[in-house]
Amino acid sequence: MIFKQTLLIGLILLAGVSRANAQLKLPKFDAELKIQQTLVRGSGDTEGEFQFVETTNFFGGAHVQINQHIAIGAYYGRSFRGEGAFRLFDNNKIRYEILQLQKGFDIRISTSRAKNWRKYLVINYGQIEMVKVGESFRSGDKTNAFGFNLGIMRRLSNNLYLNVLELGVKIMSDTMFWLETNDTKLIMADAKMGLTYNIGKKK
Amino acid sequence: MWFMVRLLSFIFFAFIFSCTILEDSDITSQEELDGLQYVSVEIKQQTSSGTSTLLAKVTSEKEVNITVAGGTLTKTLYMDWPALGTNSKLKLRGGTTSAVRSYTSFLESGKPWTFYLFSSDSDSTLLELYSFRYNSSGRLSNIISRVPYVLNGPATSNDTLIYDTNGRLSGITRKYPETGTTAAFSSFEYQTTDNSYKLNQFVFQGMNYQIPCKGSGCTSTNWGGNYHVSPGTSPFSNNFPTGVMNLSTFKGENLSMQDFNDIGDRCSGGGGGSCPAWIDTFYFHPLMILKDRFSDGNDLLFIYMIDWWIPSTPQASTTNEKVTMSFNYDL
Repeated sequence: MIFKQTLLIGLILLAGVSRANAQLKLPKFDAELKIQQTLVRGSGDTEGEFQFVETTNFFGGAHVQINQHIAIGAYYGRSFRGEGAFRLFDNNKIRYEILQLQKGFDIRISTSRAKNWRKYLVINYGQIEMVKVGESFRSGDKTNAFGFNLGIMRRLSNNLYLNVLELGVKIMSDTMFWLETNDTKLIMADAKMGLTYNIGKKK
Repeated sequence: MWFMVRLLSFIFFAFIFSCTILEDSDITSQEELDGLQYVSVEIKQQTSSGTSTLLAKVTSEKEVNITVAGGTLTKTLYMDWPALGTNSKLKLRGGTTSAVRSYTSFLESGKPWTFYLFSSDSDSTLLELYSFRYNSSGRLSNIISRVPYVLNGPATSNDTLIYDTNGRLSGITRKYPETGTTAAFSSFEYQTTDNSYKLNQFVFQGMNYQIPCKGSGCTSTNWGGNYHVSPGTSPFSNNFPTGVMNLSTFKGENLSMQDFNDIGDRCSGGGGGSCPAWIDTFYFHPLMILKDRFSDGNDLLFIYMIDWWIPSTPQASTTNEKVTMSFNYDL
């Protein structure tokens, strides 16, 4: 299953590379490295139910630029810290370390290359894995998620952009069993900041 | 050149998308979580005389097929329990201070049927027996205790659980077969403000067991701790408590019971006085290790405080003594 998904994404990207190669007038690739903060809120009504789960991730991505407005690519984010709060039956909360990994592919639609500022919309689809590190055992689960982000980047040089702020949401198709929630849909909010570097030169 | 770029891109993305943070030993479904069986229970006791750690170990877990009145027993579990000495904070209700063994049988549904404690010496004397019985809907209907166990003797208590139309416990009738007397649990109050429907208080034999409220608009006196027992039959009595404790648990992982004595000057309204506190006793109850088998297991653990938490005569103490049970898994 994972192999098929990988193959499909690989083929999409290869097609993008061929398309970009034919353009020749635009930077062909870009790579991005960002810090991502994610948050999923829960009601925490009942014992064991999560109140929130938040992680801070290293987030990387690479895109093939179809034209100056559209780029397709893939992303990968992995937490370097995270925490979740769960309700105890005495109304207090207990906190656990949370790990998160997200990966998938996305399409970035941006405004024209401008002197300074460039706005963009990213539509993404992928998979989110989260793990609760308990005292005795780890509970992990994964789900697919569809989302979009709105961002603005500032040009720093011919190749380098600063992603000043990118805000978005991901709608998770399933909940994770260890969140102990009755909610059927969960929404992950995220904010990112970082750098995007164009690889390849305008010819 | 472009072929190499494409190939490297493919390898790179194949690598990225095959990455996972899930490990083979992770619990990845509710079914796995429900079926998780601990291999040992660490009992950490923090008292005024120091900290000690004991370990109870599962020695045998067997699949069986035994027909009983409530269905089919599918699993039995034997455990070795360390000696809880005379000075132990956690004691056995039957009075035994030496090492014991336990036997638990489980129905196909995963719910317990019987729990025995017996001596670990060669004669394997039965010391305590708890029976869990269910109604036709599979809800727990009776808990029958024989503590201490007396051969051919009557049960020490037989509790009949009563549910309301919403399926929540609304009362329990306790019979004492030896004396033919009964006692009722009453005034069950559930927390409705946050939809948790967690049992907040009940009354048993003139004592009010409650979780004091906190925050604005709350009229409960703050004696510290998250559970009080105080004389009185009216809901949420603010009488001076005979016992204060902190009880905390998280499913399948741990359970901690703190005998809270550092009430400081709370009893004099912050005026700087001091109050007598209580060095309480905790008695082992099978619900401490089996509560997660029940949907309302935490409420049951709260209710059965009447058996496992015995506040004592006030003594001058400000030491908070704690017993923590941590469940270990071999994953």
